[in-house]
Amino acid sequence: MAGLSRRDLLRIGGATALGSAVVGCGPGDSGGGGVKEVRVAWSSGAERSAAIVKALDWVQSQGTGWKVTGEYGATNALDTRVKAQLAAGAGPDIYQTHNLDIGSLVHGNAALDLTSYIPGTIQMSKWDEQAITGGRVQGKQYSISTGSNTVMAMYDPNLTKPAGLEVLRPDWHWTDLPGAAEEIHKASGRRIAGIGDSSMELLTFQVYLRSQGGELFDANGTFLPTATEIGEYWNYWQGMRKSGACTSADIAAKFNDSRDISQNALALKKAAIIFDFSNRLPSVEEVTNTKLSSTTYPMGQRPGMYIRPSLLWMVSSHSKNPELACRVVNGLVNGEGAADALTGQLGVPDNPALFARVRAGAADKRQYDYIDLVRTKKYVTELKDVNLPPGGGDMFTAFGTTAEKVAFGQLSVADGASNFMKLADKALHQQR
Amino acid sequence: MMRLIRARRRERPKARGDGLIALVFLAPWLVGMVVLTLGPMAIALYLSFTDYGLLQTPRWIGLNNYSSLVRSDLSFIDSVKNTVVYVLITVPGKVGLALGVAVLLNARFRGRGFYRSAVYVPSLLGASVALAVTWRQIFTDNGLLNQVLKLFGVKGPDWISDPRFALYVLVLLAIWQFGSPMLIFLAGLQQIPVALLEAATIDGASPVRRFLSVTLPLLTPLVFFNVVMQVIGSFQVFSQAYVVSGGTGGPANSTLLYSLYLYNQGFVSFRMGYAAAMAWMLLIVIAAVTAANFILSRYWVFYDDALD
Repeated sequence: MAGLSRRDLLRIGGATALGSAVVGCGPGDSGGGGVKEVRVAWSSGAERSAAIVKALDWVQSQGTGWKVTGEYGATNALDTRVKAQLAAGAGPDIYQTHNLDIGSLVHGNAALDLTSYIPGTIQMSKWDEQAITGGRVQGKQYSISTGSNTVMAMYDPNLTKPAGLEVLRPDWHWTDLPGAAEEIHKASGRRIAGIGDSSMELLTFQVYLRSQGGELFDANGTFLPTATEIGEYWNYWQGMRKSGACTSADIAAKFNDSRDISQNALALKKAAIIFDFSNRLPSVEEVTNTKLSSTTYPMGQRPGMYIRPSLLWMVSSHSKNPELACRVVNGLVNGEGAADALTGQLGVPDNPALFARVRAGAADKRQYDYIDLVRTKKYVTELKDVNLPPGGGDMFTAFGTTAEKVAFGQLSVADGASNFMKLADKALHQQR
Repeated sequence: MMRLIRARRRERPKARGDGLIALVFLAPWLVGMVVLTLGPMAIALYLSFTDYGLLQTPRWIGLNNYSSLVRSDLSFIDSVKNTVVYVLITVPGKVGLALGVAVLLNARFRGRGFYRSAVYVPSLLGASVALAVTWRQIFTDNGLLNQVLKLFGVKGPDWISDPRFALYVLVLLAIWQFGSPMLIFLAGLQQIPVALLEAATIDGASPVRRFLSVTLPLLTPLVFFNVVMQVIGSFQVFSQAYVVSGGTGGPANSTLLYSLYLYNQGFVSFRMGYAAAMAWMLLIVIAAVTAANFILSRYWVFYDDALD
């Protein structure tokens, strides 16, 4: 378990102080004198929370007669509380969610259809189509992208260099990866693996599958992969695990179970390359304490990567001030001050003018350059429905757990794939 | 006879008044029991027959939750297996250790009071986050245990991240917290008549024979009590699994105990109906095991009133 450093404590303190500045009063205070309150809730680490609080502070300063209240906390605790509040019709006006969960929230009638607030209150006319559709569920605009990201292979060049792979080229293929990873493993004197085991990541499987021409879901939310395709993917990693090209099961499980960035294979100094999301590069560098390089995920017949909303802003269907809530959302995604405050931590701005502005002012431009690179060089294949259907979150967990059983040798690849198909069916069926 | 009946009739109004006063005094408890225990239990029973995702209105689905649990939920089966293993090792381990330490601490020696307090401390810590962090520091890859093993040239595994060992780390944590049953045994040991032990000594019984033939039979009601309490507690264990595994029950579901899976279904996946069905199944299983324990106790528990 990662402990809190002195720095983390200072950040939390700073975020709390900033929160107080925005909040004015404590959470839940309705405000007096005709002041309308808009409650915003999100879960994240201290650094990101501090940035969001600063952005909300700026949004509040752009209007009068409203008060923007921030509530945040650790993922599980906050999400449980907020969902219980939403169920009781007393939740925050705005809630930050993600593509695994939005389907279930819409299914539970917790999210407001924002279509009637666009383009009047929320402006997205200049946005990339992918960023707009990324907030849609069943064709309706139930959420708005907080900013875009994609997946990224991050690596420590000092560890790849001994294998003659100082620079990993973005046009590499899945078939290149096992050999390259094994070379890194051998060149390190078998001390480290080439790459962190990603067999437990449903979203990496999705990229792999898409690069082979497949898709995870069709437009109706039907799960498309077969047990054979899942088995192929797990066999791919199984082979690398045996040769030492990828990390052992216990290292991979450590990250899969904690989702703690400090437990990834790069941070643990157990591998030279990991797969993660592009907007997390600075955070991964911080926990790794190393200047990292990056490249795309490998390709197949086509690129499997896609650009998607990093996170989503959703307005509660019970909000008493939906118009104001939409104004706050618009401020967060289209406001210059908010974009400056967020520094790309919720993904790169989808508003092109803000993208250029933040990129120009950023000390570290790599995240912006990377999104530009994958867009312009076509390292992505567009995906219309990036949001998983209801039950997607459970399926994500089931994929990781079953892959762990396969990696630890508790299940054969074939049995694991067959079990996962049952679990996926159950997860999706139970939420319908 | 008639006088007696009349006298009783005369007493009735007073008895009624007493009953009413008793009811008034009991009211807070009764209201609490109905509102906070029986009411939620009844609601949970109703929800167990519904598809209730917290964000939606409950929809009646009959026995579907129960049949789905038993027929097609592989994680449920994992959680049942883990919990059975946990109960089967933890209960005898904890009760046995508690009895052994209680016997040792019942002897007269210097610093007895200090040792009695010291062995009780782990039970006071409960399932705190601090304890989980400590436990992780001991059993993780570079933890204290592996550092010690390293001194002997042994490379230990990452006990918490390896599904072969992770559950046993939880078992060890539970057994380590043996203070409460130990205290009960200690109290029982002090109630054993010295005369019986002296008589056995005069008859030439060795310390082991005295323990097996005098002490243990007289302690069986307390062994039974501790076994019943520990079985119930072990079936319901949640916090230790939650804090040590970070709430996931990993790796590979190896620490997914029943209550943790129930919690995850209810408060992570928001399947309240499903979680309610799990809660009722747990209640029925615990009731059945406790009833079985009571029936079996007739054959091995010795109550000293049998001597009367």
